Amino acid sequence: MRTGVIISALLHGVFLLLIIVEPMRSPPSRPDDVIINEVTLISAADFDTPQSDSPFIPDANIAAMMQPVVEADDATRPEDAQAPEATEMDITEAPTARDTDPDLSAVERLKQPDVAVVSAQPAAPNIMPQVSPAISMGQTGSSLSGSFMPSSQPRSAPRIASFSAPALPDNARMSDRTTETTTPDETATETAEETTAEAPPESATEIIPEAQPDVPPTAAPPRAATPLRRPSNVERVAEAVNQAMREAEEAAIRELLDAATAEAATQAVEEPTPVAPLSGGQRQGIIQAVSRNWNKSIVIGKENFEQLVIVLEVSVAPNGMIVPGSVKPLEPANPQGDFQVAYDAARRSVIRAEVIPLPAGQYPEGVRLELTFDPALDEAGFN
Amino acid sequence: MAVLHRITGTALGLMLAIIAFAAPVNAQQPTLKIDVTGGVVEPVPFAIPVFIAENPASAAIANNITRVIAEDLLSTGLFREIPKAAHISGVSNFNAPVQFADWRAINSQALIVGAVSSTNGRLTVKFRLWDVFAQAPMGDGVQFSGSPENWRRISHKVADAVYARLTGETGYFDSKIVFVSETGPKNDRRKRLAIMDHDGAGLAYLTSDEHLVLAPRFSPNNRDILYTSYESGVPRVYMMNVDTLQLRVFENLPGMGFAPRFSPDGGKIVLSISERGNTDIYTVDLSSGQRTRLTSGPSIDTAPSFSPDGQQIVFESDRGGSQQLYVMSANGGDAKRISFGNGRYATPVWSPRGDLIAFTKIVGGRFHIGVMRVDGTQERLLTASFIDEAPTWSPNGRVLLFFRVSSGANGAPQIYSVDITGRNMHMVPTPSFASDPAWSGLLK
Repeated sequence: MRTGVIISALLHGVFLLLIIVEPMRSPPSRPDDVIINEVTLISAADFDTPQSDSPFIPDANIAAMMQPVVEADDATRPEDAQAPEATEMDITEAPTARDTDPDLSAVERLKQPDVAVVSAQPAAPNIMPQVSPAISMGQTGSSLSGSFMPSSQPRSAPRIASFSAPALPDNARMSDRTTETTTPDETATETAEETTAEAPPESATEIIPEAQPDVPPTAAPPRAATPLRRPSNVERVAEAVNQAMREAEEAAIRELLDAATAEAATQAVEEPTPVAPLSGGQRQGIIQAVSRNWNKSIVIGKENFEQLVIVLEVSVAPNGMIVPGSVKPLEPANPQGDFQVAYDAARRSVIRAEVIPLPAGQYPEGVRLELTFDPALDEAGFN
Repeated sequence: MAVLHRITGTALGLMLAIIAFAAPVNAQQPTLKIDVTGGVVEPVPFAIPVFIAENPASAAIANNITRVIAEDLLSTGLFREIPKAAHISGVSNFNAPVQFADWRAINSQALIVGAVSSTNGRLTVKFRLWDVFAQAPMGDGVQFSGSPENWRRISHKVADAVYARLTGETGYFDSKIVFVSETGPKNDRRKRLAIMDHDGAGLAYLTSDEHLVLAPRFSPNNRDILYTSYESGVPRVYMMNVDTLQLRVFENLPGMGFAPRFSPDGGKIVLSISERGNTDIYTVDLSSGQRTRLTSGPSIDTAPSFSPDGQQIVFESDRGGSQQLYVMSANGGDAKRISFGNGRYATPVWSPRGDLIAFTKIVGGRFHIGVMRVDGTQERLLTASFIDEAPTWSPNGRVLLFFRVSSGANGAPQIYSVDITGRNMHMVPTPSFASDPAWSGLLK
């Protein structure tokens, strides 16, 4: 208890000291340097002198130059030169004789192409480590021993059951869109449940204080036991007592540090600061800044592309600049396969946007954007 | 007491440090939650500097490889190449650090850096893909090597790897297309089977044009082709090995066979057989030759296509009075109608992804290529023309090929490609008229 009071007093003292000392340590503001430019005065006559010189006029017949001679040349009139000749295009061949027998010699080339495609990793050892899975060329007669790295192996075209959709990743997010249409039942009658307004039943008829465990009226700590005899080595005992005190102090300090660390961590995961709402125009501006760079051409040709919804986060500085390296996937947290392609397109759109049009002064600490990319929304040309 | 003071002083310093550290965290940013709507659908810009020639022998081919990779990516319609003239940085060393700011300044979202070397008759191509805005590599570097004459396949494989990393889907550039090549006037059109790379390169003919051929289809292992030929005077189903050109004729089938396709495991074929004026769907086991009839009745049941798992078959039938799409078990039995829109539906093909069925739709005198969910919902028409017909899926289920016939007395077919979003439709170059395309799987 006493130690805590001492630490608290010391902390307050240090803070007060810092508050008092800090202004004195700051260097006095320097007056702006005065820049002195040397000027000279000239008279009005001197100023007018350079402007009063007569311009130089070459010795030329200006009248003649202003009247170019136009030569009439009917043969090269542009309208004649550009007039296209209308010819009928006939794409059908009109051979006069029957086609000759095909040249089947080229077929021979198909038999056994002398292909021995061997793949190996390029020289860069760190980026392209050597692997050598052998791939048989099969009936082509060629041998192809490729060294595709695992990450370079393309995803095989999925062969799925005929009427079932492929399974989604666990963290995939389904589109919120619903296409189901409902028709009102004309025979149905609207009925409203009769309810009576009444107060909710009270949980108790009287206020009962929170139950307290039975505590003995005297909660004083037990008295320390009296030593049986005086220690023979007082110095050693004193050192042991000091050691015990140090350990106790260290334990107390550790508790304080742990508490401070926990408090800092708690503050770090607090709910986001309440955010000022965007107007419709401001929101639309942000959407447009990203969507005009969101190229969906690869994604929309994919099987069940409407399920490839991506949510990512990005930090934006107060001036609207994208914070480099801050784009991260949220849903799915680890995009793979088609989701990886969809995420790449979404991430690229954010990076290419470079600047997000945040309202001026509204987010002095910047803003964290959670952007949802649903390729099925406003999809163009896939109907 | 002195000890106590010392400890207390230390503790005070620590506490002050903690308080000072915690202060910025307390100033937590407010959070705004926003739903991003809209977005744009436009090609993703990428830059691909000419691959570095690491020795003089590879200098000539480095540019060609770079162009094939770029053209593969451009053909998808998903990507846009930033022209070389706009590049701020050059890449002279494969391992040099990337100047991301320079590539970001020209809005390049992906950067492909590669190098080519040719030593001892082996061509080696390596590449790295960079996410410019993330300033990070997209996957590890990969290198391919092979004989110099296969530089196009190596290029396609690089493009497939880049595509896979950018889209998360398997590529389809290292693949083949078999189709019916047509020459001659409309009233005397000669047809023969041809095969080429997905980009039209490496064309070769598989049959002569003496006999009419129809509807070629790749086997799952890409080494066999089923097709219908009039070589015997009546339409019969043939199977050709692409390597050896050996033929197998399904002679013991009754009547006339049409529209054959392999099952996903390659163990059997499904086709329609027209016998005594009735057309039904059959399967034929390729090892035993056993034939199983899946449909019966007076209606015309044809154009069957397996689901990727081999459990179901989609086909067209007029059993309900008009040409519609039906799904039944791969063992036959009851069929469920899945098309209910206006007009007629034909040539259904199940997507290799299993999620969609492509079809031809005829309504209002116009033809459309469309896709629908396998239960018939979410029908979308991707094209409209005088005649659009016979869709076939890319190996990754992202793109469709079909053929379009121009109108008029001299109308002729050409192969077109369209993304399943309906975007990026373009004509696939062929040296002559072309119809009935079939896309192989991705080559191994």
